[in-house]
Amino acid sequence: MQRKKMLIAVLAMALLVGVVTAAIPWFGQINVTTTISQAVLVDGKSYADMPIEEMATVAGGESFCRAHYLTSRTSVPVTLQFETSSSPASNEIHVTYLKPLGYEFTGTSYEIVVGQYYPVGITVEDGECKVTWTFDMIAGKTLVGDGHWGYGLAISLDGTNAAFQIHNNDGTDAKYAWGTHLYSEYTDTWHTGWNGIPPRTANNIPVADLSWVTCTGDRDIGDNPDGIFTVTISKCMLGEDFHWAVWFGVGGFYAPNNGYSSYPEGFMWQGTVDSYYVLANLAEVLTLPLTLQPKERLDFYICYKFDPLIEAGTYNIYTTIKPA
Amino acid sequence: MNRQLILLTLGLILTIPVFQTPIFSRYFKPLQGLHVVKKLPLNMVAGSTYKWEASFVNPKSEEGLMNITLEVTEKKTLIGFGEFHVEGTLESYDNPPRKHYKSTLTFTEKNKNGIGIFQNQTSIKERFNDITLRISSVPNLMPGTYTFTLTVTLQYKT
Repeated sequence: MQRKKMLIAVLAMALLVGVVTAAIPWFGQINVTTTISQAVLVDGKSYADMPIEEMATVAGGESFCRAHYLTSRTSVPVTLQFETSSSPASNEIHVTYLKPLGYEFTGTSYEIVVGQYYPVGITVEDGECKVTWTFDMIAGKTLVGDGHWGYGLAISLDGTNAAFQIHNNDGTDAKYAWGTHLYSEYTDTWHTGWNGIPPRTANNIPVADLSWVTCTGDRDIGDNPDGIFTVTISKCMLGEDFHWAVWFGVGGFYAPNNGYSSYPEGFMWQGTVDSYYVLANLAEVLTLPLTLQPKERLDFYICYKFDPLIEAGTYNIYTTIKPA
Repeated sequence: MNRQLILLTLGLILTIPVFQTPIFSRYFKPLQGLHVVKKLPLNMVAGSTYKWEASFVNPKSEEGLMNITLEVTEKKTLIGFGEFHVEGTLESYDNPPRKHYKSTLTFTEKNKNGIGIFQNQTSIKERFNDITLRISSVPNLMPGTYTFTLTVTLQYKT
């Protein structure tokens, strides 16, 4: 009886093993651990370094510009959203995201009165957050004598009327030394103290007192033997597009390069934009949400403008850029 | 005697599912031929698509049911549904004269304890099999260290 039970048990076990073996599936497994990094980098950095953070101590009316770039590392288009907030929160901080269009200009000054041509090399460069005009007063000429130069760069922001002028004092504004780089706002007329405007109405501000514009270049050739002048203006003061015109004055050299005012014969400093003004398409406002194509790099800049009525103080401004 | 029979039957019933668990399968019936043909890169970028290719030899010369499971985990982050997308192809060859078959593997994401896993079930009968997975993620995937586990099981009627 015992032997019979054993036989049954063995048979049952054999059956069990057979069934179980057949029922066990064949099994294979492989794994890999990989690091997945961010699809879009901001200024070459990932989320850990975001958001873009700016701190500004303001009294009202200021503006500043910061250049950044996005890099897509993916193989698919990525839609991005921008958000800016501040601490303390304020509705008086106006933020614009702009894409530079790579504006540039290379040429010489306008032909002047017949027989009095004094070409000046003009270069305009779209830099990082700023636009720079370079005036080459010598431009290959051989000048004899202890001469001097003047310039006046007029800017129109609305395409109709001039907004302001940057110039170097030719002595008509007695408050400042000759050659001082000055800013003059255009209202009903120019207040530069020159170009036919009575000196007493001059209302100039030294460029050195302004944060958004810088100038270089001495008036006299003795101090400026290369004859180079530069005017650099923050892009946040120029908007998406603007018009510009420039005037040059030359004096103190021996003939034939003396006594000229290098602008077209018909050019008038009336503060109205005419055909002598040059249109500069500087930037376009980013349309949000923004789609970044695979492997695309997008350069952009952020303009921060503080309302004149903003409560004075220090503000921390945060901008986050994330896939939408 | 009846009690013994009942115990034996119960043992039989319980043993089958227990032995079907991956732990037992891994040791008792490993799919030894499974190997990586094309590696996933060690550094990937969110939003991009990467290929992972594995190959194996069908241990039996008969039609079997193949289950492919891809599980993605990250140590610090819970991966949300729809953050990854998986597509695949199966290329099969039989013994000489080596006829070649190619089919699409469609993966569906299913919930497993709150984690999404990708599953596909296909029947195979050829000897040599090559699985190519195309794994993509959403561009806003949280950066981190992710582990991809590919599991292949084969079940036959006999």
